[in-house]
Amino acid sequence: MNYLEKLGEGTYATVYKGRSRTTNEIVALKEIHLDAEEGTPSTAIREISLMKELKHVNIVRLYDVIHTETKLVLIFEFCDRDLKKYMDTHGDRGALDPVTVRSFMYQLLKGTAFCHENRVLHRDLKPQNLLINRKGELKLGDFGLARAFGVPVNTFSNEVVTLWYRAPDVLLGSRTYSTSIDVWSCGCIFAEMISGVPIFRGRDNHDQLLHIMRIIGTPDERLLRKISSEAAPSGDSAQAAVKQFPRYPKIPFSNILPKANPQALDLLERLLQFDPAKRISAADALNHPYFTSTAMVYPVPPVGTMAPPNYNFPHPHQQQQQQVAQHQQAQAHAQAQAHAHAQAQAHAAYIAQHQVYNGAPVQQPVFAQGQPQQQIAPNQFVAYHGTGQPHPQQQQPPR
Amino acid sequence: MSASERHAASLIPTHLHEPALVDLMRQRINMDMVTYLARQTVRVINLGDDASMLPTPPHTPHKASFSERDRHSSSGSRLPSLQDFIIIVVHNSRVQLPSFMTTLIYLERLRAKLPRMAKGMPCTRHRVFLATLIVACKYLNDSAPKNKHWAEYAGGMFDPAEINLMEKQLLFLLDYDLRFDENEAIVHFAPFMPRLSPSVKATRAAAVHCAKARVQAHTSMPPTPPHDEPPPTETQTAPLSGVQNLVKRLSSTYLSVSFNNSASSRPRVVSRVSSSSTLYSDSTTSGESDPGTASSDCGPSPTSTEASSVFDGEDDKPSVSVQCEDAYDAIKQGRKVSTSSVGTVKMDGSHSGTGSILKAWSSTGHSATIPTSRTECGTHRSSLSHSATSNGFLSRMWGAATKTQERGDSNAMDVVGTNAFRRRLTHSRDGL
Repeated sequence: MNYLEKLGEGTYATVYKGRSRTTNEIVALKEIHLDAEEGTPSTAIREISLMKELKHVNIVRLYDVIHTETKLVLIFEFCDRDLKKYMDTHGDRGALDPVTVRSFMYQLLKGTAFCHENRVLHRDLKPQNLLINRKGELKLGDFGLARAFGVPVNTFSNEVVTLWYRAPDVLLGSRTYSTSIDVWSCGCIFAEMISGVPIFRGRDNHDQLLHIMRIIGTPDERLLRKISSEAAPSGDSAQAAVKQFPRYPKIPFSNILPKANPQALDLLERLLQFDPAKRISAADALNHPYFTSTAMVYPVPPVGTMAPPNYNFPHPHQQQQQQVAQHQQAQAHAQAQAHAHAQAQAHAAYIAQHQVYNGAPVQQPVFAQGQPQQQIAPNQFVAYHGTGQPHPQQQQPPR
Repeated sequence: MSASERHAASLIPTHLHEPALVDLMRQRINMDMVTYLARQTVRVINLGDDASMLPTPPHTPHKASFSERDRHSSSGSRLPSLQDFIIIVVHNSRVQLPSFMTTLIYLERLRAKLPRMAKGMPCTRHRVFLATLIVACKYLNDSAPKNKHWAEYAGGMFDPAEINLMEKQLLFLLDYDLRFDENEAIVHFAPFMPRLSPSVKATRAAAVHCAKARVQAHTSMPPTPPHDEPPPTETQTAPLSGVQNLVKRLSSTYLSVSFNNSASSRPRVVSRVSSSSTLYSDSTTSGESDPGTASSDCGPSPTSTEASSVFDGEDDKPSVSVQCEDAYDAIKQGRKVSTSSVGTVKMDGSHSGTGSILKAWSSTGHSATIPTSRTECGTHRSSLSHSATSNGFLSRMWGAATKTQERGDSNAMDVVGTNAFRRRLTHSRDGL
């Protein structure tokens, strides 16, 4: 193993780029210093224990673990950069184009849904922990805060998730949070990819809540009290917590993110619900019209754009989705996507690739921009019935 | 789903849980539990002197500094009984019942992975218990004591370096396989859930064993035979009648709290390597086998583990770096292969891991007889039936610090330290 360069350093670990001497394969080496007093850090124990079971294209693969006296080295699949750096270098002042946002958002939700399906909470989703490789694949990394759940033997802290991505229920002190806290983080990341800046930038727990309420509005007192009382069963402190918050009205997301299309805003709305019970699940979010109804087809990818992602998602829901309507008429949408991009091609290619009926791929329609068109949605995406209308005749595969 | 319906320790709705399990988790640790846990720990490994459950070892006096700190022993050669030790640790650490009970699951996993004939030092069981408890606490709780705290909780019996080592060894032997589901918890906690009906237990046990059988199908792991069956010989039974046997065994095992050492005389399939031929040849030469062979047998094996001469003395020091290099290359080779065939992972590593330790052990000059019985079962072949005189194995695994003290070699810990555990998590083609 040759160490090539240092990629990053934290309090807990140092990450290097490395190359295997025998295979020349590039890997990421996460060196965890072993503290003599602490022993093997629990973060490392959980990261290894959970990641070795989570095998998914949108989750960084753990290959190996080397345990020596002074350090623990985790050997990971190599990714070129994290989403934060990607936004800094590829974005327009951090903001990514809509096609890339959609592709990344889809992959983020896909990886998150896979974790949740396997009863794992990530608990630290943020752009720095999402890794992007050369193929444009987004992968969840850093499972140091992740936990398995589902067996009544655990204790959970509410000091989880990086402040700006922390869900309001956790900010109010809840320890009985669930998968919805990862969904909140996904929503924050979504907004950040669209605008280029983190959407809620608080200084501390309380300030963070104020930042959230200034945008999505102060929730009604009943909800606040309910969440607070669950967090702190002693009634007094809960009451006190509720009274501290000014009554902010809700600001429409369209004011904050004028660039975003209506479907993106609708999804964001569902992700960033103050009430954790009302937040959409990651699996359901994948079936939102934002993903299912938009066909991004552009004739010419500009030079120098990212290579098309080579998607190869496992489809745990395939069976279920096949039971759902096979066909759906897509929304008119073309004006929302004004940019021609390689990602668009890639995404369209991905959609087409999965648009296989009886083994024959559906021919990919190409539209002029700006014209509302009917588009065939990929069958994987079809499960959301809010807007789509079944349109069986149109979906006959070309033979 | 309102959070109030959600169980705070599982984060899923309470009604989804077995009520008896939820009740149990609210209880406090009692003496029955301590006694039972001590019995289960005893089942994990035999001591060097089989006849004795005695605390006094025949041949291992403790170092002076060791016993000085041991306020529970009046002389250097006396340990508190395992049960007393458990009481001390539970009391000092104020560990809660869920973490305490979870050690039962890890002890059973460890037992399944250790060679039946593996022998421990007198303090090995204490170490096993302490390590499982530490790991359970770290895995299950967002805030858990550090190892230096555990050193205090253990009454000064082990210094932090020893505790770090036993934790590391346990994680390695368990292959970081710490996750379990509710069925598995119920099966292992069943003796303390009187309200649980036998039918529920049977169903849960069957579920656990179906799940295990699926995993074991990859490793061609034959079922553990029931108590009275003869040891597995040259031919191995296919893992077919497994579930029934296992359910029977489990229900008899877990419903009756009384155990004795019949467990230890029970035939067990002890360890598994994917490349038994190499191991076999290593062990028969029983001499200075070339550490370089590590690359040829380690590489293609699924999740093979290289514990290169883990706790051997200073003699091996020069060869350590060579072994590390080779093992590393092997890892890389294996991984390259692994990219083409993703799939069976979980159990492989642990079993081949144990085998590799044994290989490393047998290849470093100690005489060993490791009769191997080989069968072809799927792609992963052969199990090892160790009747090895593996006296050294667990003293190496668990009693390393004591061993160094025996030699009076203060540098030996460094040697221990320089040796690396190498673990492979990915699956790869079974070569050779």
